[in-house]
Amino acid sequence: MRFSKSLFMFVMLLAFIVGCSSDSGEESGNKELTWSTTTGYSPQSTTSAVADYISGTVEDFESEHSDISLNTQIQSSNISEAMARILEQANQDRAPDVAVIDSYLFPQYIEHLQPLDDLMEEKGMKVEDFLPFAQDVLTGPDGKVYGLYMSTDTRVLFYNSELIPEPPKTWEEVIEVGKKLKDEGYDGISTPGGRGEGTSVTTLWPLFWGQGGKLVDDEGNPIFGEGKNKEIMVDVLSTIQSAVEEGVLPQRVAGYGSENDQNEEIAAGNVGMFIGGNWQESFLKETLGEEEFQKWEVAPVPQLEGGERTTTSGGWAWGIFTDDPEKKQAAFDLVYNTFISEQGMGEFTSIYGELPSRTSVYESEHYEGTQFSDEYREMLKNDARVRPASDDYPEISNQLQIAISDVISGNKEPEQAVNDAWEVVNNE
Amino acid sequence: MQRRMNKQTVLKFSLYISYFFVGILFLFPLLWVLSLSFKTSKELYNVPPTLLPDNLQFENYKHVIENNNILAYLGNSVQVVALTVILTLIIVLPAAFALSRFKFKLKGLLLLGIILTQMISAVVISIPLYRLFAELGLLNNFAILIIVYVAVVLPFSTWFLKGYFDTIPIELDEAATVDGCNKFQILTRVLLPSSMPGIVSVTLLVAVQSWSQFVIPFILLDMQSLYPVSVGIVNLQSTQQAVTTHYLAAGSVLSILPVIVLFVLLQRFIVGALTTGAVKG
Amino acid sequence: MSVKNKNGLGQSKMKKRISNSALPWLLPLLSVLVFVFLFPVVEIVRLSFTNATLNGGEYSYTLDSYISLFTNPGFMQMLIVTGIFVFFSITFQMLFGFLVALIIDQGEKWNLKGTVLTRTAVLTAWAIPGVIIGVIWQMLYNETDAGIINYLLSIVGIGPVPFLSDPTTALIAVTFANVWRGTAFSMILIYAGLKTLPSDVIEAAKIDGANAIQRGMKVILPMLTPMLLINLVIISIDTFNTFDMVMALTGGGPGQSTEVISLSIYNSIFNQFNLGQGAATSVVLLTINVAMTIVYILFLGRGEKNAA
Repeated sequence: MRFSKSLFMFVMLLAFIVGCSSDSGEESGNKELTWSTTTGYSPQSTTSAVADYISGTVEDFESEHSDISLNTQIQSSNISEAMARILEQANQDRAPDVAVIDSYLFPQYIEHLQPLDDLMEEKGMKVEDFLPFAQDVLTGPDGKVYGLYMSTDTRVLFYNSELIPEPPKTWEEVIEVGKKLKDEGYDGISTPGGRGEGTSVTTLWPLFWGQGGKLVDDEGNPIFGEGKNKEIMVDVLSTIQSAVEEGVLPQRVAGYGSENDQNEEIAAGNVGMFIGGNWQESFLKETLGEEEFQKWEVAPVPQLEGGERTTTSGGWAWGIFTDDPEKKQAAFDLVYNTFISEQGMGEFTSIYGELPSRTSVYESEHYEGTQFSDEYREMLKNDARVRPASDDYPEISNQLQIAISDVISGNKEPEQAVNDAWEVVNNE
Repeated sequence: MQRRMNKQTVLKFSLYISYFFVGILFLFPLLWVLSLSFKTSKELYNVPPTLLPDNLQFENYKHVIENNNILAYLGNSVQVVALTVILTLIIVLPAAFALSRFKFKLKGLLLLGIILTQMISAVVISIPLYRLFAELGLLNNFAILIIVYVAVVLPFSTWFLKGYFDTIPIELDEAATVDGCNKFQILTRVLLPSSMPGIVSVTLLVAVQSWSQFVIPFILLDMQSLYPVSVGIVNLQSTQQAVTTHYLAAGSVLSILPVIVLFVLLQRFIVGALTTGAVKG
Repeated sequence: MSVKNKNGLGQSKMKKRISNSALPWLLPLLSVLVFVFLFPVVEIVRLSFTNATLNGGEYSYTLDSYISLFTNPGFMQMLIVTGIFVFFSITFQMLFGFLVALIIDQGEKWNLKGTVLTRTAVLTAWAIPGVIIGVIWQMLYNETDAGIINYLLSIVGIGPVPFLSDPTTALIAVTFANVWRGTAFSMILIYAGLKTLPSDVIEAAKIDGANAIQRGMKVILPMLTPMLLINLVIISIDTFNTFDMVMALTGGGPGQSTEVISLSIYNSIFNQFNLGQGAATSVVLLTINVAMTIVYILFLGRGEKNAA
């Protein structure tokens, strides 16, 4: 009894002490600018070079805009979840002042965003300078420009050339090479196969599109589960399934939803080849060390037999939500100087290992590129496709992620998995 | 007699063995996380895995404290939990008193209604609440967050305390009434002192439940600086690039450390209060 | 929660003296509950009859959310997964809780060392937020060669086990982590119950020559029944509503093999932007919870009578 009483008093006391120490608001006179960004594109990036670069430009921004206090919000890396939050916030007029948005969802935000034509003109920037697919993403139905495409990316096969002299071009070859790797004690291949957007763009779409498959028709209605498209999708899943059955693709990739989920295994040194995003080059370099890194090469994503070389490109774009002119200007300055200007984009993409989204930047003195940037650029030009701008896309992607994850984990046969995904998508 | 002694020795021995296994089962996961939190990112992939890090990487802790605001999240959690506990008690004590000592129509129905709100999952109400609060301009507001936390724990605590009050003989109330106490004084002078174990139990149960709360702050808070530790860890888990297991482990250790310390220091009181509270409640 | 609130006699005497209203005492409670629950529940039920999405914009009233929910190939699977998760979680939480409570109680009677440590270890797991438990177990279940559980299993010649990438083992793994988390709560309630057992009853059973198991089944269990029922109600509701731990551990995968119903609500809204269907699933969850509670309350009423 006495003990409980003293515990009770203790808790109450604690409560009062901390209860009173609540901090109160921002200083008056200062405007607060909220920018919502991913960890990788923030001063908190886990890659130190990126963190240093962004911290530097943020410091410059703060010294130039002493009347603005910057509030950094980091998005979850569960992309659809993070994007859903911002969308919901925008619906309630509570969106951050400026946010980075995954390009495939960008059109859904345009009605909430501010047009940037005037500000771009001041900087002498033309929308035509962006790569063609980026222009499509950024331009609203009214012809105005609503965002700044910061960088683009593409999916590639990374392979250790010491183990694999000739990179596989088809999944048949992948299985062949993978078996050899397994005999030498390595994993066959790694590619994301779980629930997450990374699985769709890295593993599913390149194979599906490479065979001429279509996810949606010209009106944006789903057609992936009908006729020839269905056959192709089943083929894709069957191929993945046989790679798992042959022991070449480890079953645990059914838990990896993002390209980066593979990083831990890559760092462990057990992976001879993997399909991932081109930005993972910088991770490879930092983790493996210069000497080991020199053994690695890149090649186009392996296709199904007879498939056309295809890969997915994506990228992120900044959108400004605030309609306060001063904040809008400040947000534009921040994003422009850090990621979009010739110097900003050139330096950032070189450090981060992504690809400039502005044609002019490729020729810039500020763009050094990375070891493989020429290869990436080549793929971007010839092989890259972007995801369809359809309202149904998030659902299609989600259901097919479930499908491939079910196939890899042995829960469903390919045909059934596609049928189920098709049924769910059509149900809604 | 001899046989009996032997039997008891065997039993004692097997009890010790089971303590060992239960202890391992519950402590090992925490020890492993502790070990990961002191490793370098290279050591994370040691095959076979090693329990002891080569040398202790306090760097990891420094990193999550400096870059991920874990301490600030912890502070937020402590603040929200403490205020939730206080507000819960302020609301629940009179309510439990009334439900225990008053007779009125529809009391049974009311009790049923209260327990039914316990069924409502936080994930169900959070989106409508988000929209409502956005409309009212009440987001990112600790006060409103705390009210939601309180609502979530109210049904259970009300039932619990009402049950506890029921066990305190009504004769005490009557004696106090004879002495000239009014209702409020009956509550504060008679019921409160004799219900301390029950109240402490409620405090603990509410505190633990609020500490664990995830979906409510996750949705009702837009501002990172206000996150409690549960949401902070999810944010840390979902960093974009690179391998962060060791940081994640360090963050997890930091966020469970206060609770562990509290439990270890106070475990005698906690168990005492919980058992007396639970039995009577 | 009341186990033995049989003071009807005293209360009827009090009745005369208490004439003023109970409302002021209950007002804060009722206003908070109404403020926080009423609107959202009505709103969710309303949204469940629409095709609203997170994108905002127009929506219309329709039964489609329910129709598509019930006809989705994954719907039955979700119910089954939830059923398995809940059933085994509560069974083993109570079973382990009972065993741990029993060995600690017995140990204390014999003044054994280690009871405090064991008790604290179990309790600690209970005080860790669900998401952090998910994060911790994800590290433990690591399927690469660096995974600790698989390593330990390999020492005794088992494995490697695909903890999180095989549909069946993933569900087992998730349930196990949940049992780990929830055992403490059952333990503490049962332990409390054991503490109150009159020792003379047990002694009497011993003299009668009943062996330990008979003693356990025939004497101890019936006396603990009310406590066990309360325990059952609370953890059933908790387990049905659990999703934070599963979200952090598997996100519902592989496929949908660990997607329990409350996680499915979350995924519908946050991964598919489909508010209508998320709301419809919420209504299903509410219905299950309410139905289950009513059943339990009926049982509870009976249990209480038996105990009295």
